[in-house]
Amino acid sequence: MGIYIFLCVLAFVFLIPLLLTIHYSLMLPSEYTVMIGNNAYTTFTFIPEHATLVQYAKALLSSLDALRMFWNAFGMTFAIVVGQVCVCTMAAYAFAHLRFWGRDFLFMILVGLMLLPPQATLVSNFVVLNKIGLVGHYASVILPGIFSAFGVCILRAFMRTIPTTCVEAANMDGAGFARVFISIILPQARPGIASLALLCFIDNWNMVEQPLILLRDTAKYPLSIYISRMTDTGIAFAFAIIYMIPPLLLYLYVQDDFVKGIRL
Amino acid sequence: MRSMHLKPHTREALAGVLFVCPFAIGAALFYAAPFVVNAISSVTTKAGGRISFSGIANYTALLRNWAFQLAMKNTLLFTAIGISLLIICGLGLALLLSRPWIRLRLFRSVSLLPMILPGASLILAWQLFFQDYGIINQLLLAGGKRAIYFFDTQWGLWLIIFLYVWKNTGYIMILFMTGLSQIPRELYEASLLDGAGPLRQFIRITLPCLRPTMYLAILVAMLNSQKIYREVYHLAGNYPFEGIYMLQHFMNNNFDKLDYARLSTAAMLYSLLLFVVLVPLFYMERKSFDLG
Repeated sequence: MGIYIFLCVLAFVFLIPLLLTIHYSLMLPSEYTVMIGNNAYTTFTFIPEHATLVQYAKALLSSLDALRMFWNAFGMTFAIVVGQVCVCTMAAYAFAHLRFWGRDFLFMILVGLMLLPPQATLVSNFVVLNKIGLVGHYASVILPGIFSAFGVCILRAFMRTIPTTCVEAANMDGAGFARVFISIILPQARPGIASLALLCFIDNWNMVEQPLILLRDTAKYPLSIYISRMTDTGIAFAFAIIYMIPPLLLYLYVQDDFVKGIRL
Repeated sequence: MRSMHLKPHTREALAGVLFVCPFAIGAALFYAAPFVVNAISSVTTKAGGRISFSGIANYTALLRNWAFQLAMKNTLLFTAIGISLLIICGLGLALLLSRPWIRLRLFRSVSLLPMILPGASLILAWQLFFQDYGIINQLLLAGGKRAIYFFDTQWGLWLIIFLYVWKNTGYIMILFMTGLSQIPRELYEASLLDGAGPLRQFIRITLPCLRPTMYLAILVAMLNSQKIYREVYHLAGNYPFEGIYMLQHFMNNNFDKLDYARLSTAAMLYSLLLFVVLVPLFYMERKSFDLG
């Protein structure tokens, strides 16, 4: 019994910011005297006097800057996720099932790349992209994001659990490597791919370091950078909620597969 | 066209190389090759257009830079405390929930929410809580204590640690729950027959069986601890208070000045530090990670 109470308290702690944000997004800006940074105590009421959708209306209809940034984030993240799924599944299949010269050595390098901190990789990326001349384009954020060593590692661990008997049977029936990959490996690796897609989406939906360095134009920033800098707090909460929706939807869609995939 | 008459293992090797190619080219272009260039430029100096090998001069100069020292100190402090707390919380929760319960699925989803919901969205609520005139300070003042200024004092570091633990506990907890579920029940039953109490069972059965999971959890915790910069940026911008000035801030600020030697040296130093910690980890657990 006590355990349930403890879990409820813990769940509440996990949910507090979400509840607060929803709560404040339903208020008129005049109703809360919180201006982040001003010398006014935040008045905290449990139930808003008027629950209005004014914030949402204003956010969706009249703040073009922030909306464009939302779609920036969506476009970049979507491109990165699709790219990662394509590239990393192929590489993981090769590392897991195919024997080729230098595979183990390459895998050591892969692990080393995975352990590199983002602080180091950002410097590397900037140098290369500068030489290529891509700094300032969306591609400068998307392209490095596609080649994630972490993705290959977790997918490889997943694919190793796929029994090779199916593959051998297919080979006996005359399937080539591409056919085996598309028809046998991919469907069985779905939990791993779902896991990877969700993790990748969340990671890039929140990206802050790369746009700051690689995209100099503030019009190209994703919304994740701008929400905390928004001067008009009248719509900040509404945008916060709007910004939460895509990852939440994705999570609900791949929930079961994702939890199955949290293991190596 | 005649079909290719290659030996099976040659065909397999060719297919392997083809499948790895996209990733290998991209990773080499964006990560591996620049890393090597970084390494080279961190041990050379460019004086008057000529590049000469200068050994560890760049490194010693960097280590004497007070901003770098501050950033490293904060980052290391945060990493050490944060990861320990996270592992303890995650493991504790997983042990607590290791008996079959109903309604666990709901709690599991709720505990993953902090990771799913974007930090940028939630940061507004956290600011409401922790700012100088925020909710926590109001409660403290109502209770007769003094207010805590989270963003201007050393408390900022604890705030960051709290955010980090809050965000990742769900994922680590599920990791440990999976690991715990793989420990065969018979071990516990046999130990009960031999008269082992819960503490003994924990030390002698649970912990050793959890070793691979523990290493994985530490790895994930480390990878996620490097992303805490995002929360710090949301809270405090480019020049935060001393207590939470971290390595990424140092690098960002040097980017603006484009002091490339310092940048690459800092990057190399941090990478070497991480390698020194994590590579032995990998080596020790290579069997469970399917390496080698």
